[in-house]
Amino acid sequence: MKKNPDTEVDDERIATIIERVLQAEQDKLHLKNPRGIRGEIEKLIREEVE
Amino acid sequence: MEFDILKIKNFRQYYSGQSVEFSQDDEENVTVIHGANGAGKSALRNTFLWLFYNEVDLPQPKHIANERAMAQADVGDRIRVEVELEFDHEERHYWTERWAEYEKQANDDLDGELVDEGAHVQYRDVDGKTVTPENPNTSLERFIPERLSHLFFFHGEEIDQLSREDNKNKIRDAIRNLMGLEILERSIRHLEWVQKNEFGEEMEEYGSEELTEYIASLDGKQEKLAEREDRKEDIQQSVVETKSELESVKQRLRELEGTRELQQERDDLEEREEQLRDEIDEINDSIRETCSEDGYLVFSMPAVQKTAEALEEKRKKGEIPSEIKERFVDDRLEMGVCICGRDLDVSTEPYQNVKNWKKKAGTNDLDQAATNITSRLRGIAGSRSELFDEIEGDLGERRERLDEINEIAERLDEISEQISEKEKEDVKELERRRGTLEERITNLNQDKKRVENEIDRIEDQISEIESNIEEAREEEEKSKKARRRYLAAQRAREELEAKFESYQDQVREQVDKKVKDIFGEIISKNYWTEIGEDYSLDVFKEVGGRSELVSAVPTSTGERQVASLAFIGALTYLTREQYRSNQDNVYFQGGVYPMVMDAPFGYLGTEYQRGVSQQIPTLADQVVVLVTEPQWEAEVKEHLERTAGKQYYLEYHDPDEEEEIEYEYTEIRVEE
Repeated sequence: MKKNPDTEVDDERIATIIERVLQAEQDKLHLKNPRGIRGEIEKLIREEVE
Repeated sequence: MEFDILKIKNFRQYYSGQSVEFSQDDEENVTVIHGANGAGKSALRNTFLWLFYNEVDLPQPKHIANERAMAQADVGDRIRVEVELEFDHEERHYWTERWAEYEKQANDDLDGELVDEGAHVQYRDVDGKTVTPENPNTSLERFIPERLSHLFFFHGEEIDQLSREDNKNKIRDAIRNLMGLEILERSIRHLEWVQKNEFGEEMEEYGSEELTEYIASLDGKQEKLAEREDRKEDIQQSVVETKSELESVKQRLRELEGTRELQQERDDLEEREEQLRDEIDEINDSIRETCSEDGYLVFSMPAVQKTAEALEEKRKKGEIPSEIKERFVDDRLEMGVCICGRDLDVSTEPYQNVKNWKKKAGTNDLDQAATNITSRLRGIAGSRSELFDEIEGDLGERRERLDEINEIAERLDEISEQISEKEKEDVKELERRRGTLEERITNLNQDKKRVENEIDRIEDQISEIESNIEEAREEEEKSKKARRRYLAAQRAREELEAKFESYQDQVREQVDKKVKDIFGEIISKNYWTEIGEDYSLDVFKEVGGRSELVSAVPTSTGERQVASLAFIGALTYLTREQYRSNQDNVYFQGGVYPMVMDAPFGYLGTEYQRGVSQQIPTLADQVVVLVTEPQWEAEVKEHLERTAGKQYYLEYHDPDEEEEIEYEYTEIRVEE
């Protein structure tokens, strides 16, 4: 399938996003009231995909 | 996590300060704590729950402070309860503490009122640096998840419940949490939310077809502008050509004998007309400038008049300027003598009468302000009059020049008529041609003006469209960025979903196998365990060549308890192996957990007790076992004593048996 350069994000970037998402979840996994995880994930994707 | 030392002060029946040092020996990794029923084994297990989660799993959970300490305190005194735990965790050495202060409210108050509480966490990292986390409660929660605390700080007499049908959620939670599935699940769920609710909505907000429409519109306008500019150039060229031809005609009229003087006069008049028109332009500029600078005087006059009238009214009433000044009254009061010579003593009527004049007196500032305003108002009225005079003067001069232009026009008509009446045919033709050319130039100039206006309008429209295009481009860029983020979140989620699908079966199989192994080591009979698709932990037995579920049978408490122990042991083993393997796996990092087992031999028969006591040291790196003396018999004692690095006794002081004490308490004694 032809890639669209306007919207395509490379594999390495996706791997970084996954790693950062998992790390953010790991940090909050054991908390009674994990707050703000969605905001953190949104922020990290904004940082990775400019 | 490896426990080092636990210090308890005034927690439940632990009076004053007590401590337990845990065995950290690799070979003798078990710490045994002996205690009779009611001696405080459950309270000791609960010190961990209180420290990590600020919760207790005991009757009267609000009753934390030691009764004996409370009884010895005076009303108003505070009893401090403390639990401190030192341990090693992930290459850091931790000092943790939870404390609470209870104030005695009455002589018979043995609970006290909670008046202060807190927690403290500090650690030393691998570089020897000491760090104090800002939020100790959050730090404490992170070590072992509270919802899994029943696995790591468990009560043996209740542990069999894990393998009951209604507890499969607990089994599932434990596997998912400790083996990394929960992180994957949560990541997938949160990525989906962010993808759809944040980036999806952003795409909708900024995405539109406007940019294409604007660009098409701009192309159209630019084409139109080019067309108008060409038209303007053509007109200008025609004007130049027509003026040139006109000049030739005029030159010819200057050369001809019969028209020379008339044409000369016409040239002079036209030159004068042009000069007058220039002067009119200058006068118009002057009027515009005057209006721009002083035009406000015309509109402010009603307010000026109203203010002047108000001040005049006050003047008529004698309010301004004031007849008496405040300073004058003050001076007389200070001197103590009225202008009539009467003495003005404070608190006398004459003094008060003179003082009352202050209310009517004006200040110099007020009078000065009123005078200034009146003067400015007069100035404004004067400026307004000058403004009208100036404009009128300009209008008069303009009128004079327009009259002269009209006179010139009349004379030019006459000249044209005189030339046209000449007998010579070529003169008539020249004059007719001159008229036609003059008219054409006028028409061409009007056309040029109209085209110029059109060009201005199109340029304004182009400027607006360009601004819209710039805005739309910015929005389109935002929309593209939102789309990239949307797709990135989607791809990340899809990859995690694929990982989850393949990993969850693998995890269940891995745990199932390890539970089977441990269970098989403890129960050698024809029993086995299975973790089902629905995460139920079941025990089966082979009866007559077929499998029979035995964990549902009420009498199978022993088998269920062993299955639960095997399950906890399997998870502890697998997470420890993962941690030590140093595999780079963010969702399953593993961990080393100790096990605190309160009465692990509760319902077990002798045969199972032997198996369990053999297996206990292998289940975790560090094991703390709380046992009663009847449980510490033959098989158990024989096996656990070999791996027990430290042993303690809970010495319970019972007021029914010791006359000198009034309240029960427990002391922790080290086995000598």
